[in-house]
Amino acid sequence: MAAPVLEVKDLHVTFASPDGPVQAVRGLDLRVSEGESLGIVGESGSGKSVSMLAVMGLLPRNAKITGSVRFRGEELVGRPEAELRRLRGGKLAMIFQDPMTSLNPVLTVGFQIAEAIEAHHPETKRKAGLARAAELLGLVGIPTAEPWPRQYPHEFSGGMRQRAMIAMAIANNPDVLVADEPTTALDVTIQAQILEVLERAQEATGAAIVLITHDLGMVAGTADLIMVMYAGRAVETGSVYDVFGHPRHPYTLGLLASLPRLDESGQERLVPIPGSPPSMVHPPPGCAFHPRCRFARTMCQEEVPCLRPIGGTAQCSACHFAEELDELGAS
Amino acid sequence: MADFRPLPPSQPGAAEDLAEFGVEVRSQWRLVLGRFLRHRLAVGSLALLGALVVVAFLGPHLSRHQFGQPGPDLSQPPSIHHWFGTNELGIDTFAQVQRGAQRSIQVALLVAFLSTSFGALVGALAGFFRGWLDAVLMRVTDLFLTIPTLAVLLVVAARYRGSRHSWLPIVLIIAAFAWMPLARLVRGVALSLREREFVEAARAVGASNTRIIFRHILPNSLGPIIVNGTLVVAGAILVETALSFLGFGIQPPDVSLGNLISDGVQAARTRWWLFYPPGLFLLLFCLAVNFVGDGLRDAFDPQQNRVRA
Repeated sequence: MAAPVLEVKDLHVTFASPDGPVQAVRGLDLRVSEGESLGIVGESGSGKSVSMLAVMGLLPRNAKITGSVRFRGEELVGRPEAELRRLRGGKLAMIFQDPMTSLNPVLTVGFQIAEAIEAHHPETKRKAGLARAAELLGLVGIPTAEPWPRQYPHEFSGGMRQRAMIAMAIANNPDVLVADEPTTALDVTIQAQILEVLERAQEATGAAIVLITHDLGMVAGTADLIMVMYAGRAVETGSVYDVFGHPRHPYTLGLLASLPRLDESGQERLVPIPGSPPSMVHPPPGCAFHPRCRFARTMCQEEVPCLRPIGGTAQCSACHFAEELDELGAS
Repeated sequence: MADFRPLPPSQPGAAEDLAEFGVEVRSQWRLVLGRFLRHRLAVGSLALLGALVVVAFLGPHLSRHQFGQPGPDLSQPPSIHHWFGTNELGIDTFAQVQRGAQRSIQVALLVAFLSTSFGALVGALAGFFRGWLDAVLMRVTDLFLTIPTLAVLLVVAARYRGSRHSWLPIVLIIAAFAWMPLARLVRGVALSLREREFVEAARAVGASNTRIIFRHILPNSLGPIIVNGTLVVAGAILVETALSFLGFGIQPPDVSLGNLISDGVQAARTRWWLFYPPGLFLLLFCLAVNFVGDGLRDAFDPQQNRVRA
């Protein structure tokens, strides 16, 4: 395996709040290599967005970040803001959830993409920047002909705006592209197109993609690797094929069971996961999932399970009983 | 599935496609302009304003008389030769009003420009950075708001009384007391803008704070800034007039509307043509500026759909 472009080790993010510290991310490890796609799946509040914002250095000042984030071997945590700024949008790029509000309404789309280039290459002439912007818009499937690059964001549809955001993100040939729920705000019909654009963007730049989503179908379609997060920790990791084919964590099982499936008879009822995600001010002791887990035993309330490889593959699970899930009647 | 290959640049397709659906491509500025043009009072005021400015600045070409030049006709009522009459020295009132209006407009525009730039910058910095910078800048703003403006203006203006270029210090003094409301306004706008996603997106592409302030925060607060700037013009012209009226503004032999009104006030009942022309000019100018500002405010506010007659 190639050396990872992005390597996160034991990342903790804590926010100060009036009720006490909120532990949004509690010891996260991940690594992605060039050209790889990692899908991070989890409920709202599981820490998936926060951990990536921490990687980008975009968290507000009241967030306390510990652990290590290495980009091509260079430590990012604790770096001065000016150095992080040079990386952001250059080598590390991010696409946000809502394209409707992520573009500045008073500047033309082409100009905003040109801006992204200028921010990293101040020597770029305005005209060259705009030409490159038009080229990038072409790459993401927006007509390069006038007047499109000179349109304002409100003249673009939601899908086109997200394409423009992708164009902006890849403007400086990033090595890591973080997409934070890039299709959540879009029509279902547009989602597949956007994912395809993302894939093409990856081909064009060779970037590693980190795709944050709560849509399991999206991960299955685009990612190579998957990481399931719960309560600020990874509970299961592995290749998409392994994890979907043979989930080794009750939470993953629950997620899959709560999905409607077309290929089955359609008679079975969907199985929701009972309860709701825990408070991150007072996360449950032991395995954070135990209050909602139907296999939980006393051990789960006391001992924090660590993420360990299961069954000799690259698949890892953080469940004390990962090996026994089959016998427990999970499937 | 759609074809994602980029269209070759030569292919005309896209632009025409849009026209086919009858979608008119309109930028935000065109929308604002359209809304402004529907505001008849504002458009009329803008025309009046233009006319007043033209009269003021084309002065020497419209009339045979020059300001400050005594002639043989003393204290004449308005006539073909002296449209607004003359004063006791035989100086043509029309020429005086033109000159006075020039000075007053100059002062007002410069004050508006300086105070608006400064106020917008202070507000944007305070709102964007928050924290201690916000606290310091806003307390300074509060401090300036508590100072009795006219008293300070009189004291400072008195220092420059009699100097030849007395109008520049006056501009600076008035501007120094006109920026605070805008600073507060822009701070409020910046506070809300800084939380918007496009600012975070800009940060994510590596934009510096300076770039975010000048490219994202300020352009997005341009609406309130322009409206406030217009209203400052009206305010500044009144303050300048008040100063000159009290004898602390523009100094003779130069004239402004203020000292013309001041000179004419004793004669208001006997030689009305000395008092009313500068007074009316001032009234019309301020009224027109205010209406234009009003129209701009409505034009920039898409929520307000009130149709005005």
